[in-house]
Amino acid sequence: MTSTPLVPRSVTLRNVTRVFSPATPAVAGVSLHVDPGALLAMVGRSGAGKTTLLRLIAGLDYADAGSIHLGADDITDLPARQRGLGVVFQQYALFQHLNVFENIAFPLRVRHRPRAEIARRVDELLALMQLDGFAARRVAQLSGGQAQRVALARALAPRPSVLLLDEPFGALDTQVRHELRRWLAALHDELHVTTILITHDQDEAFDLADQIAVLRDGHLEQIGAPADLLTHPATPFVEAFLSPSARTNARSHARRLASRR
Amino acid sequence: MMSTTRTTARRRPTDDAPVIRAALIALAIATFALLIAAPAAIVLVGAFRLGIAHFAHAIADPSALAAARLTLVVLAYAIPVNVVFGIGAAWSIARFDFPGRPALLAALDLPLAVSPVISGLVFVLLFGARAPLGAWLIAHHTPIVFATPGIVLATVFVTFPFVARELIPAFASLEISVDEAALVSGATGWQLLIRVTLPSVRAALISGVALATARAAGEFGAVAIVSGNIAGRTNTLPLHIASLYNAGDTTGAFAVASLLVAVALITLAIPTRWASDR
Repeated sequence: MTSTPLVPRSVTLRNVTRVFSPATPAVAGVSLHVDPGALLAMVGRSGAGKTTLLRLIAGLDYADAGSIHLGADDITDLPARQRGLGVVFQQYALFQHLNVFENIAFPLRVRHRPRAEIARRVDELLALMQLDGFAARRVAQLSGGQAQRVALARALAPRPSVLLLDEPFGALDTQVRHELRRWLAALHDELHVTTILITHDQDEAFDLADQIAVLRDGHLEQIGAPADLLTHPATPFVEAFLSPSARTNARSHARRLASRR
Repeated sequence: MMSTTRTTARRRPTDDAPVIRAALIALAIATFALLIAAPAAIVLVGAFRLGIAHFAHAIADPSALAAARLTLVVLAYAIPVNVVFGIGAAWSIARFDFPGRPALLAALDLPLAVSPVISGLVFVLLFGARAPLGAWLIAHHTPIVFATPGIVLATVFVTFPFVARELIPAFASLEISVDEAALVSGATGWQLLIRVTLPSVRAALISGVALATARAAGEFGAVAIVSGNIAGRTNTLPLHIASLYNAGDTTGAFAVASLLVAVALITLAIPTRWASDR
């Protein structure tokens, strides 16, 4: 379906630090590596620094120390628009004044791609996202699940080498979330774009991720394959955080959050 | 969403009692009819009182045409200036916190608070023949006062708040994450402004431009001071209407006034339709 394959690149963070208030750095000396085409899930409590870290990688915020690399390139000081990453925000952040087609076409329009190529690419993505027939729809008329698929299509439009997802399913109800999770897994198998996913839902992390990074108070507690984290937790925190009862609690917590929205 | 069709007919808990509702609507309509619709109708009746020939004569009079042309020229300068500065001021106030912000916010209301006559006097004091700057400009053959530039300046001053005032709440309500989505999508700052920010505040911008246009076309006080009332040269439509009226030509005054009323109605009606098409 996708005529030109994406070229996935690795993401490497070296001692990345971001300080808003000196007493409690939001991100403190985080180093991690994501292989090309792999899916990394970042988990941790609220305020652990997950979103700050994602924003640093996206170029929406700048690190106070450390460096960020995309493949062999140092992108630490590169503005967001030149990084060429796909980003999906929790609250969709779609352009309300544009229809579905133009939302997905936006990254191509600002790159001055030829008209015919844009039409072809958007049609391709609409099909991939199972949004055929939605091209002329107003964004306000979409359900949450549809809006998030449009946001994902927009992020994928310029064939990014890396996809950053900030709790993409956090605002959706449980059933839609489960559907989209299955579907994201299939999509990732097909596209193999390097993906960093923030999630509160540990089931989601264990279900989708090649690697899981556990953050706590701005520090990286542990990063590893899901099975290794369970069998060889590096710290008591990781063990407690990932314990079956904690996972059950986290699940019901996520459900409560979703039902409240 | 689903239940709206069922509940619209029923009374909602927040609704006022039918009597109060009827009274409020009647009051609004009566006020509108007495203070706005009736005067506008009287202008039209007055304009055609002596027949269509007299109306056409008053409109086609060279000084009336010159006044209409000058009003259009003033609009052609004042509105673009207002749009550019209005967007700039509103963006700064809505998005940044800087030392002069409260002062700038207060200054935006100044043209609305100060009598337009005083606004006009300020420009005469600044650019008149007795002021050093004015004398220098006159010596270099670019008089400001009693000429078109002064009229444009006074009009810009008086109408400045409209675009900015409409845009400040519109800019403030935009979500930062939408801007961020545009940036990570590869948009430059300029593309963000043209493709996302301004289209998102389109309704407010159109409404501000409409109000500014209507006010600019109708401005009397400030313009009367700076123009010097030279018939055929520095008379705008409102000034021309006033001189017709002062000369005792009531019908002529009403005829030209009906033009201005038409301009105002068109400026206000078309954008309302445009802005609310969604």
